[in-house]
Amino acid sequence: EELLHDSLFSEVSSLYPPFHKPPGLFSSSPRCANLTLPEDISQLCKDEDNDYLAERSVEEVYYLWCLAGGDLEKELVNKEIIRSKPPICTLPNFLLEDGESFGQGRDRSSLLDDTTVTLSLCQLRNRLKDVGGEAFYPLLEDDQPALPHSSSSNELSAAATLPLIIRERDTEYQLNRIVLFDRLLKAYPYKKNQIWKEARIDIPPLLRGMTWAALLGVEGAIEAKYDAIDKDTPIPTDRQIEVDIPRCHQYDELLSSPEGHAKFRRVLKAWVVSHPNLVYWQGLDSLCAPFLYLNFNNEALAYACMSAFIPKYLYNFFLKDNSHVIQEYLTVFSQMIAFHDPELSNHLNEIGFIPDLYAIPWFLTMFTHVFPLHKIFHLWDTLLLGNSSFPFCIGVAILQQLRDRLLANGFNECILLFSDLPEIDIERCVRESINLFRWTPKSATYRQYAQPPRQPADSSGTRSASLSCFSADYQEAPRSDLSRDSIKLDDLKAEVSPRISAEDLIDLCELTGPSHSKTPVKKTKPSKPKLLVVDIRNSEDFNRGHISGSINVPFASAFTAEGDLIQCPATATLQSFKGRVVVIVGNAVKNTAAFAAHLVKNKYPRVCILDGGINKIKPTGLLTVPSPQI
Amino acid sequence: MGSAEEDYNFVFKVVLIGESGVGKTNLLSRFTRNEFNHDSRTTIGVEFSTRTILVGDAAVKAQIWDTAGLERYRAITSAYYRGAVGALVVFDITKHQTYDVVDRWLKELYDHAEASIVVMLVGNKTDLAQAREVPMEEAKMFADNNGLLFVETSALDSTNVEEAFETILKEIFYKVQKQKERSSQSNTVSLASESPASTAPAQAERRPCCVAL
Repeated sequence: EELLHDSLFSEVSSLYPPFHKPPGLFSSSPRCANLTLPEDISQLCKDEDNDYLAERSVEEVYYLWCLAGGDLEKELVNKEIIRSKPPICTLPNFLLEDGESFGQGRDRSSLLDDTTVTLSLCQLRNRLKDVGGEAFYPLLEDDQPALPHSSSSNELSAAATLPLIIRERDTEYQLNRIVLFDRLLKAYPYKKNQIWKEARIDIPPLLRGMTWAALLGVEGAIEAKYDAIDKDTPIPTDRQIEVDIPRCHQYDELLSSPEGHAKFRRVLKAWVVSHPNLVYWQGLDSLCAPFLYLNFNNEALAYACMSAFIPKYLYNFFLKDNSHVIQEYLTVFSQMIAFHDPELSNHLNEIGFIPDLYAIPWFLTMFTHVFPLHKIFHLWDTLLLGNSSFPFCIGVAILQQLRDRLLANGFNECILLFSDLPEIDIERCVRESINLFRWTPKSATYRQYAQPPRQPADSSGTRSASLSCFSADYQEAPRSDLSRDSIKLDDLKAEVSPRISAEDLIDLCELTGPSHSKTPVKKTKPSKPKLLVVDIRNSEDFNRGHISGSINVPFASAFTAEGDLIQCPATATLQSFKGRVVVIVGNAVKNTAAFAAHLVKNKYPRVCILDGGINKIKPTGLLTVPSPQI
Repeated sequence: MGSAEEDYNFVFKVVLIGESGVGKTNLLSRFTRNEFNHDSRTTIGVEFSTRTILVGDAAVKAQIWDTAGLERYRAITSAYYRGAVGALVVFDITKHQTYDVVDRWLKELYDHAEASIVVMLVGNKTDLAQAREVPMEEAKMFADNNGLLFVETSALDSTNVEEAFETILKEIFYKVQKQKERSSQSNTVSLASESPASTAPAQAERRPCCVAL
């Protein structure tokens, strides 16, 4: 390049403009700073019958070509570049004891062949012949419907309702999704909100790596950061990494290749070296696998994604002493099982099949240790849209798929079932986890060892706006007197049902009072309240003031000696609410927890207790005093 | 799971411990399924497998707990030792480092398991004899001095795998029988009678006739 500046080359130098490395997608430097528009802008839109497909990148076209039925191996066989020999012909004729063999010429198929083969695009063009030019240049206005209005838009919106696996194989659908995501990602982080919105529909597999990075909020000079990390100096963890890599997702050709192993090693080492307060736990390799696979030619991005993922979903799981983090996590998980599926929870507790025995590999690796890559992709497409409590729901959804077998079996059979986890239908699992998540009060999965809230300064406006409660973390919400208080691990373990915060209760009951001016509350069907508040204090206390709409079932007279509910009008109401959220409110924690445990025993789902009891509600002025009853 | 598999008189809980990568999971899969996998995934936490064998006339079901080898997992996995009546401490004969830490694994074991637990030292990977770093005599002597059973195995070519598990299960069985004679309790069997029944009943007597119903 310097040579070109020499006067000797002045004649030719103008033909070779100096190479500028384009700024990376995730760098914050302006990407269009040097863009110059032609004098006459109309030139840009002159050519009418443009070959839009030719303007797409070769990766995209190849990907679509494969979707449209292209088979590279077949083409190469047809062109006789791949010549297969029957295996019997590849055996040597003569073999010495030391392994030297004779009688076989060197196999030429492993040598480089630089023949160029032209792949025909006929089939692909034919498949895309009805796609209008607009499809290649979708408008990115914020309130644009997801799919472009091309002549075939009806077909496309029909395609959007098909199962994910079929959508991923549909050439035309994928073309539209890829073009859209490509444009959105090029405008990242500016178009972050819209990426989130589109990702809720689905993520085109070709751009999954980039899309995940965008969902994880990866930004900045990731290459420079990655390059600056010393990945060569030996560290004590090397031995363990060497042991683990050859055992990690090795059914996959990329990850089992020598190049794959080398990349694995570098990314893992980079993570270990750059996180001095955390350590390598077995399982980190599995966690790295999806990122490495998706960004196989971009180690820096794989590293950046992994580094962004871990604090979000696995905060402090990789501490040297992580037992308090894991124990709390598993306890909350147990409570989630009881909350969503009391019958299963009762059974598992009876046979002593506790989450410690099966769920550590699930959560420590966010399910990457238990599922093959293609399932992880679909699971994580949704996981990444959820907050750090979403994995609990995935865990419950997995248990529910195995529910019948778990219920029918004892400890021995259950542990065997989980050592060799049966096929899980991932699409169903995702669907059910979302449903479970919707039923889970935000504060029920509160963990004191979760990631502390980030400083408001760093959420620079772009994010918070459009994210639903689905993706926002409970921990991120501002704390108040009505939030949940931390609780000792042993106390937490003793409680079958989760606690919820007073805030959540007020929200769920849609209570409005003097001290609680909220945004206009959407009134759902007034006849069907979402939940029932059960006040277990004695009737005197109850009559002095209680939460409006709550029923009084004094703890002392609620259950028979066998633990069954005693029949009375109040318990009849309770029974009629079975299946909806039931919040137990009382004075003493011990009684509320015991009451909830009794209900769980009686197979009441969605039972939770109010953290702090009635005293939390008193200062809000939301308690009502009933008019004297007759 | 056939019903034949379900007919057993005893369940013995046996734990597999030792450094990461010594082949614990493959020893187990060789014994329970006669399988070997060159790139079997790492064990995180604990995994299980069972197989029922005959000791004399009695059907003994081995419930084998395969634990994670990485040292720091011990903090969260120590509960797995509870109720175990046997343990295989595995090392890799081609990696001296994995033998050096056997001491630490034994200490870990005795800290959390019952003192009467039957322990067997297993040197795995004899198929890689040309790369051997731990002489058999050395390991044998160590085992004798510490009152451990000892065997060398290869999960790859199945040498001694069957024998290893059979030996330890027989040893446990006879120990149980002896104790049963001493304490003339008829229905419960425990190596350490003072220990209360744990969450996972490790060993229990079961009459085949009850199972069929």
